[in-house]
Amino acid sequence: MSPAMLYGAFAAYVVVGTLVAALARRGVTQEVESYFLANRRLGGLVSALSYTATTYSAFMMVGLAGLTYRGGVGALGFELVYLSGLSLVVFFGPRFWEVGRRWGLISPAELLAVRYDSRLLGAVVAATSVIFLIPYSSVQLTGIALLLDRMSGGAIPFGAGLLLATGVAVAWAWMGGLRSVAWTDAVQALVMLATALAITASVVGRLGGLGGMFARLQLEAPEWLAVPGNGYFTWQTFVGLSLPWFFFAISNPQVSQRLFAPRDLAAMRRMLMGFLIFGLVYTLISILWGFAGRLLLPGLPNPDLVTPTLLASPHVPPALALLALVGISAAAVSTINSILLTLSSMVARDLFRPLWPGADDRLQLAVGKGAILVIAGLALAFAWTQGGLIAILSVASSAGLLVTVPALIGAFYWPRGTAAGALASVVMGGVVVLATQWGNLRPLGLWPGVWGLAASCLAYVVVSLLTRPTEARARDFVAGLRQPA
Amino acid sequence: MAKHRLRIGAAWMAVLVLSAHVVPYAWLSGVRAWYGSFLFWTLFAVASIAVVAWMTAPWTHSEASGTRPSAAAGERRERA
Repeated sequence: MSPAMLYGAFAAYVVVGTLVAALARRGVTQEVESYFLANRRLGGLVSALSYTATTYSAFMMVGLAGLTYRGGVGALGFELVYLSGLSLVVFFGPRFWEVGRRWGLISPAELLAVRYDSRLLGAVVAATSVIFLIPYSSVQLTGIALLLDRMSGGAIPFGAGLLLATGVAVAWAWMGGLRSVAWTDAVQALVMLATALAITASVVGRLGGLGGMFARLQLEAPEWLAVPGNGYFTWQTFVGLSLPWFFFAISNPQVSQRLFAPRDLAAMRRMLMGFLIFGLVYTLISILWGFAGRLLLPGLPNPDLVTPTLLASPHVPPALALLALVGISAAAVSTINSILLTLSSMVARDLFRPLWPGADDRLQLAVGKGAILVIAGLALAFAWTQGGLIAILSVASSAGLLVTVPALIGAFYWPRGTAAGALASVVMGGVVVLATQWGNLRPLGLWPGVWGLAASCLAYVVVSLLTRPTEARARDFVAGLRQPA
Repeated sequence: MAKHRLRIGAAWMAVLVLSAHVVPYAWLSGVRAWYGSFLFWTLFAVASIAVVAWMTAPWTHSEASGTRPSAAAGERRERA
């Protein structure tokens, strides 16, 4: 496909998105609550679409499809465990929502800092989030750059794709904060679903429809329809992948921060249900796309190349391939701009403000906007190294963020939990995840996230029992909240 | 009643999540067709969504507006 067509499609997407972002920014003031949380007034539909677009990224049609190509149906199982993890929002959503309003909280790290009465804890959680979300952001950039590179036959080099994707994500996050991000996300979610549906229907249709495709799979690659199947999805691998996904809704700040933003709990419920239905459909589409790739392009050296290669092949009409480029770019950009916004709010509120207690909203906002540029630069630099398999890098990031889970659960359910315990759990868990991840260690065959969470739970309980809790605040969080259900 | 609903929902979710990790490995590893693990995990997701829908059914606008504005404002001032 010619570079001019690819640049044209990408340019059309950027123009439409920028218009939406510009329209959405009206009414955004220089207050942090307005910029980072859209004044806590997001409606249910926009919240649902934005939550979806933030959660689902290039990981789905590139990484998850690649994992299906590599290991088969186990990819469906672990991804759908993510949806069951949204049941955690039933318990934590109303609690986040209420304490967010009561204490004027902006970020999940700030929630922990207030509950445990420790600014140090807030700063450590913010720093942990930045460290673990940079690889996750970088894989979004990699997804777009790989697509442009492959589809243009190398005419749009990998580096140019990275720069384009970073520029768009920064611009839309910068323009109007969460209002711009949420509205561009909402439009992008619809584009993601429509384009993914169109290309998958086209390719599956060429394979004889769903019945024909599954019949061929049974004949040509039957192991792809069971676990452990071809040997990739051992039970330990499955748990290693599914555990971070189950806790994703509360461990990943770019989505847990959204629990502060709906205008009421009815809107939060619409967000939750809309996301779950969208998520099921989008997951099934991504898996079917990966299966189709397995049948049409067996023997690729890198599973992440299945989507770019399939789109550049004669199996997909050029017009649909262009649409897919836009859809997958939308998925990636809508995730990275939300991450940039959340991390920048953490830098402003949880790292900068404790050092400069007199900082007003305007100064915090300026710091936050500066942080968007710095974090985007770090993600770009990480992506340039082309770290590894997209799916694995994504899960590794979420494995790292698992270390905040014990402190979050304890914040609302265990009054005995202390600041020292929470701090120890984040630090100990983080060290274990980093050591096992970089050392490529799998004791008992279990993945870093499992060991990180175990170490984090142990440190939280033991250190909390050895130290004195802040009783009044603990009581406020554990017993003082009204719950609708 | 509300707590009862949460407890029942949580119990159902625990059973569902456990089954998602056990059934395909224990009983469906030999079924190499769409009606094996593919169908099981899809039904698992549909059931999970149904349970979440049931658990959140009481989340209505009137019940959600129960935040105490005066207390909230006071606490924010205190923090500032």
